[in-house]
Amino acid sequence: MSDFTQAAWPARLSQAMQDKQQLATTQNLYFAPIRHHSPACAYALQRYIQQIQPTHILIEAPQSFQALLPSLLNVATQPPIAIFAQATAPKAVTDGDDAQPALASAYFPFCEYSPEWVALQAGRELQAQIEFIDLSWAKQSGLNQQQQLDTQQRSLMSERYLAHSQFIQQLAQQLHCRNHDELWDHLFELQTVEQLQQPDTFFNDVFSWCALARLDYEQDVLLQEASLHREDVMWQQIQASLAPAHKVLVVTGGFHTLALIEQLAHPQQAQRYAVTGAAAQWQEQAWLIRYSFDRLDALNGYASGMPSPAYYQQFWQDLNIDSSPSVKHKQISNASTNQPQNATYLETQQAVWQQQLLNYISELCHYLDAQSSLEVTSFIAIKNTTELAWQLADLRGHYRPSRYDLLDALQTALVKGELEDGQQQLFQHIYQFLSGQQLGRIPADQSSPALVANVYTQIEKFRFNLSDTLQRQRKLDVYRKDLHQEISQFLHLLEFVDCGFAQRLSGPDYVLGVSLDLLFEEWRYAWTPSVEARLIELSEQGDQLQLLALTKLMAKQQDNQQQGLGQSAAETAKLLAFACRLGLKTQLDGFNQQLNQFLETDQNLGSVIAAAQQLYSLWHGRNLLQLPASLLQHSLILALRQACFLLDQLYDTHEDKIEENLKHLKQLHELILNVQLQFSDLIHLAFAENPVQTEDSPTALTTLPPTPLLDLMYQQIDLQQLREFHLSKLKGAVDVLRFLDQRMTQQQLSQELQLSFATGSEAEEAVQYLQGMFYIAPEIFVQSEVAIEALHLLIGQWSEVFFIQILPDLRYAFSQLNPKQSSVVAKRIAKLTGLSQDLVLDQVFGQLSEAEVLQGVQLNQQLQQLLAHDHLLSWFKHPQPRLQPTATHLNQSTAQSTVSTQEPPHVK
Amino acid sequence: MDLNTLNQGQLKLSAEQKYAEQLSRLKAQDQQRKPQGWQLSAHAVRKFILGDSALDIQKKFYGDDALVDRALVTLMGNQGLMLVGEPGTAKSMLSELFSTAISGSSQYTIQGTAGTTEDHIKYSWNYALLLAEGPSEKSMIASPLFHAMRHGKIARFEEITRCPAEIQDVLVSLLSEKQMMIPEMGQDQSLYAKQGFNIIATANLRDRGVHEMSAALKRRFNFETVKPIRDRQFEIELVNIQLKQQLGELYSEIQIQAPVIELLVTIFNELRTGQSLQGANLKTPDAVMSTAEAVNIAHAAGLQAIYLGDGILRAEHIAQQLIGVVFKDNPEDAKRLHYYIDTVVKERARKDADWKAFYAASREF
Repeated sequence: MSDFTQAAWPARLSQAMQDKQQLATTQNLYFAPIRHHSPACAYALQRYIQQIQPTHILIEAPQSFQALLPSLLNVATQPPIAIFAQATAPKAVTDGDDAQPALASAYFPFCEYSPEWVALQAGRELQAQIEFIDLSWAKQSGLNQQQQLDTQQRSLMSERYLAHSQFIQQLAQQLHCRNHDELWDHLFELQTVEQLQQPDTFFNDVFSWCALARLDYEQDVLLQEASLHREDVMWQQIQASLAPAHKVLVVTGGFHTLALIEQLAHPQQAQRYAVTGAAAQWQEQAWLIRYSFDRLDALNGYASGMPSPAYYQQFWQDLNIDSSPSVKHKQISNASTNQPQNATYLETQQAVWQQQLLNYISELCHYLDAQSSLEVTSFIAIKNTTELAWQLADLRGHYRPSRYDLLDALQTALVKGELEDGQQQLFQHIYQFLSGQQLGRIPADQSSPALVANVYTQIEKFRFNLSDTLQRQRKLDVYRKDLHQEISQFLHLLEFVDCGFAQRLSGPDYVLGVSLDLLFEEWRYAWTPSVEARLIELSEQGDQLQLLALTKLMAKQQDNQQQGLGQSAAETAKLLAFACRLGLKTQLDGFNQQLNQFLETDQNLGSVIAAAQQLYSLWHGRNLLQLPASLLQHSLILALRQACFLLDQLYDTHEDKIEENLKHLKQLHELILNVQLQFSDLIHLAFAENPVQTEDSPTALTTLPPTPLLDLMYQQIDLQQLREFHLSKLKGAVDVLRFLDQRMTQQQLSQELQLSFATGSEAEEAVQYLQGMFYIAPEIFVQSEVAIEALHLLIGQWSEVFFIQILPDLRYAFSQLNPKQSSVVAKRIAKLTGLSQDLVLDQVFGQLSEAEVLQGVQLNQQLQQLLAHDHLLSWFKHPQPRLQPTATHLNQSTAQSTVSTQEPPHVK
Repeated sequence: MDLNTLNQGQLKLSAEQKYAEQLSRLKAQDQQRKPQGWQLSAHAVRKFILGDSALDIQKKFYGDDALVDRALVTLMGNQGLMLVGEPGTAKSMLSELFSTAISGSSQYTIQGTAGTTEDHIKYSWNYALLLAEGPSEKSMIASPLFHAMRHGKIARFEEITRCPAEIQDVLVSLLSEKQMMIPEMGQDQSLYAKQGFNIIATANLRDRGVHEMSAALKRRFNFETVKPIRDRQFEIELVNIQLKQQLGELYSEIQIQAPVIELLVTIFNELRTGQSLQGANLKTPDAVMSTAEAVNIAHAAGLQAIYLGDGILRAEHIAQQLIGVVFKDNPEDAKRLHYYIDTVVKERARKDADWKAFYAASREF
């Protein structure tokens, strides 16, 4: 710490330093200004508490967390853990303005090397009174709400000031450090154990460091951050615990110490900040939850603490080994003896550090090797990195390599080539290793919301691995194993309530109706603190996942109603599907009844067909989802019948509607065919019970046709009306369907086709007819020579302008064909136009006019006549090698002459 | 004739000539342990390059202090040091400073080209003597690397990737065995490197006309990437300092206004990063837009102002010099620069007199 010279201190700081001394001597009040999650601070604090033996330890954490103190002090609690706090705005505030968020959540994490954690542990041993003295989270949230509308979860231990202070930036520049983290490591983390064992000096240094940073801050900013309000409360709390018999130690972020000392030393000059108004009305709750190293690190980017928690965890452990009894013993003996022995002590100590670092680097390099991101062998990597790290530490005056020394050494030793040239992966792995995945533990009897407890019981029952935060995959054999099916339902529930625990990668989806043929479900899951946080958030609404899911479904339904979709069969069917998948069996009947009701009243063809589709998907999964098949079948048949009755909506001539209706028609037809195939008996039964009355087919109970649904469908479609409204597209589709269902012979279809392509028919309609046909079954057209011929003829009659005009529609229609079908059609047409099959189209010369070709033909005939006149026709038809022009022929052998027979004769 | 003595009118001073005084001051003060064969301790070398206010030594390399530490540690070890990065990022300067501070000389230098042969790296012969006396020390012409090995100095290999890969590979066994075999002089003759020997190579990995390095060679080097300076404010400061150094005595005759240098740095910064200060995306030219080039332009513009103008450095001088830098071999670059001038510069010219002058001057080309 020779880098700080008291001479340069501003007056305010010198004064505070004096006050600090005075408070200690006169009032028995001690300060331990810390940086959150700093091993060095934690270590020094440990010493400090041993030295002072305080009766009271006051820690900077919201007062409202006091209730969790017993759990924190429980021996079963093992960091990393966090207190998850949630504040809610008073009703009046939220109701007044919907845009304002009503919730503010935050984590207050502890790891083993957090000074606060160390203070808790040491305080327990000393049986000191431990108190949290910061402004409650509710009030902090209230204040924050007043200042800004930021809903993001924030850390309670924000340390932005360290990164921003100008003073710190300049110091970093002077000491050749790249940022405040390195500077902190350089100045504080790397103080030797001997230095850390003088906590008085250490904390004075931290105090001056933080105070200098604080001096750069303007009052406005502090007010904005609610720092001033918090300090006011802390001050009052400290004041209250002062008494002649008390020895009080205050553990706060170094940032606040300056203000606290000033307020305590000169209370008459201090300004008061009270939380009033709406901000004081906020409510809060807090829970102790497990936390993870990677979260602790991730937080760092925008909030508090130090990077690379796993690294500092190791560092902390190493620090504590240094002061283990054997080493300490040596040190004590050294204090009294002479120099040479002191040297041996240093050497042993050095050896210990070297071993520690070597172990760490070797673990790291093997990890990197396992991730195959090393370009050299792991031995070389370990050797070079270790050497470089020690030399860097030596150069920078560290008693052992710091985190940055290590990172620098890794960069130099492992990167071969230019940086940012594909090394991202290497550094990603390095940072991952330094960050770690460790999870904490909390006592089993820890009071947690009922929902959380329930979910954990189930997770345990289903044997999910929650020991770290790595992503894992699990395959569920849902069809054959009941347990797996239960698990699947559980995971679906968690997913439905947005818990963020698991994600389905593949498997049959009965809600969207995809991948229905898959037998296995695959899930990826990972436990993170945010899962627990989400569960705690949700626990307000209920203690069972099913209940939550149901509430959410109901909310959806209400939402639907608000959007005017309350009566929609499709939406209700979707809700039913969700309920089925989530295993909400008790609610099935309710939804089903509602659905049946809506099916009868819903006047939207699309909606009813979608509902039918949904039901059909569900029926597929009836075994898996353990659904009552008959119920579904009943609804399904009902839906299809309703859909048929709604077919009069087909006659809508709006262009968009036509497309839609075409789709519906196809869908409905498919569904009917499928349903007929799967449960024809039931259909009969349904029709027998509830006969259909129509004008053109008198009901005959006794002689029910074999395909009542299909019949019903066709009965509902009035071809005459289609023709009247010029709905050629639908007409084409219906014709093909009828043909496919053998309600129309090939001949009839051909006639229809010819009719629509007949001379004089409107080209646009003809093309639309074609489009409708192609939509249902393009192969019908491809196989029908008559149809192709008719179309060919029709096109022949169009003018060029008209053809160009209709071309886009034609193209669209033909795009439904696959290449093979296109080729078949093309061949047919080639034949019709008199081109031989083998001809490639670009060999047809379009630029020759008819007259020119006729002239050519004429010439050809004249030539033939001439040849015939000269009796040369036979020569023309049977070329003779003998007659070839000549010199070569004379010299050639017979073998060669056979070759020349294959050459065509030159007739010119 | 001794080439190393300070000559009158010498165009550029070598680092050891330029900083002789600082080096001797450092040497006198140096209390720390020196690595074997080094003139100064590692701490003193660090002070020499990164500056030390107590000894009145100014900072010579900016932007990445940790890189200097890493490089120093590399040079103390067995691996060679390979400085890579875009052109104009002061790689060569850094290698010169290191070799000067560590060995007291930056002259053990091989300047790599496409025509470099094995002889340039190891040794060749004075053929008249060779014929007369046979292979002997006398008839041998040693390379700078040979000398560096013999005397335990830092050798510099500039632009190593310009040499063909098979020539680069001569270094492979030299670096791992730290000895050079001389079979011509018999089986027992070989040169063992003295302590203090190491190699600093500089290379460009992405330029046109460079050769790939073999993996074996890469393994024997530790790589350090020298990056261009990203902080605009800092770059402005740096250009000012460097300009003062380059102009030397002439500096007092010129009036430099801060906005002009700021304009120059802004243009370089924007064209290099492809992003305007306002955040718009720009097309970046292929030409090197390094800080060193910016200093060169400022220098040239300064000379123009002194000798051809009224002694005031103006934005139009910058404009005239800038064209020469960006117009090199790539006609595309000219288009990109035009685009930049027509959009970004034109916009700024409306509000700012310097930008306006720059705009007007650059329109003439």
